[in-house]
Amino acid sequence: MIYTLVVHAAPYQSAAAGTALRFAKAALAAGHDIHRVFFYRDGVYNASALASPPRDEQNIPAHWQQLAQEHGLDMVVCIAAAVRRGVLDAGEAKRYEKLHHNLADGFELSGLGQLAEASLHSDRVITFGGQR
Amino acid sequence: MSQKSILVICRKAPYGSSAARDALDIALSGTIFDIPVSLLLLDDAVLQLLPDQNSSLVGEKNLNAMLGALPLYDINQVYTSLQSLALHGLEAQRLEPCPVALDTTELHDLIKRHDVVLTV
Amino acid sequence: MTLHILNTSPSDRNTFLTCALALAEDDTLLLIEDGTYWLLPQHRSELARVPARVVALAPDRLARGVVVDNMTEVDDAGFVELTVQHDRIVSWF
Repeated sequence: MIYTLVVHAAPYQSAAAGTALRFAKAALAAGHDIHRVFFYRDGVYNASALASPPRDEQNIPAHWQQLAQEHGLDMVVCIAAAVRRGVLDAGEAKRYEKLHHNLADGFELSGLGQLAEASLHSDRVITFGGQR
Repeated sequence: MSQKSILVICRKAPYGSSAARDALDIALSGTIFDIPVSLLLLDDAVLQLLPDQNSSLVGEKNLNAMLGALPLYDINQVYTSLQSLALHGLEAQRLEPCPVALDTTELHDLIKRHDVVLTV
Repeated sequence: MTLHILNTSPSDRNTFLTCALALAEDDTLLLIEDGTYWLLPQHRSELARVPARVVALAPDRLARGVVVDNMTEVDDAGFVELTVQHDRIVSWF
């Protein structure tokens, strides 16, 4: 099966990002393909390179990166949601004249069209959402 | 590509959170790829359809006006449930755009008619 | 066949009721995260009225200390398998 995962929640405040990560690992372990992980709304915080959780807690952004590296995952962060919340890549930082950028390696900023496209190409689309 | 269709379900009121805007943006993005998109507004999301919204008072774009523009994007039908209308004591005819109010069986059929369901 | 996923606790009754309305007979309801609190004895009778098969995500239930004696459960691999067995997935949160 080809999957697209949609993550709406930031790590740490709600369980959804952690659940999505567990699902992704289980799906890959079962031999399925993940066409794309799409981060939307507060889910864009999964892609912050500056997330610095205590050492004895799971580093969810780092787990995504590791999974992406091992399996060649396409991890797309909604550009409109990300830029609003201060998650920028080098290009957007330049465009908005910001001194810094913080999109973690392995993630890519792009439009919502990437979610629509992924929906067309996937057998299953599953949303992991938080409370709001 | 194939004739896949997307159902976008929203359950949140406008302005209290970004959910209504975010759901609308998802719905509109589907139309870029000529994907048939339906919008189902349940529970508090039916409040998006209240006319007379004056959102500039809280510094927000008028969500109701944006919903009114859906036909321009070939989204001609907005759905809700009878339960959602009853929850807030609303009548479909007094809402804009006027939604199709589904009973339970029709709700099941709507979900089954779509390949992908995206919730916001 | 649709897989419905609920992650909200019984204090959020409306999300549960709306999800329950959307459940067709051949659908499955998967309780995850705080949704597993629906398995507490206090809420079981209401859960039993859901017109579809109910399954819980075991790691989430166990993490929360919710004790059950008779419940269909899946682990994360079983969660994936459920998504294979159903045509589409609806998340309620």
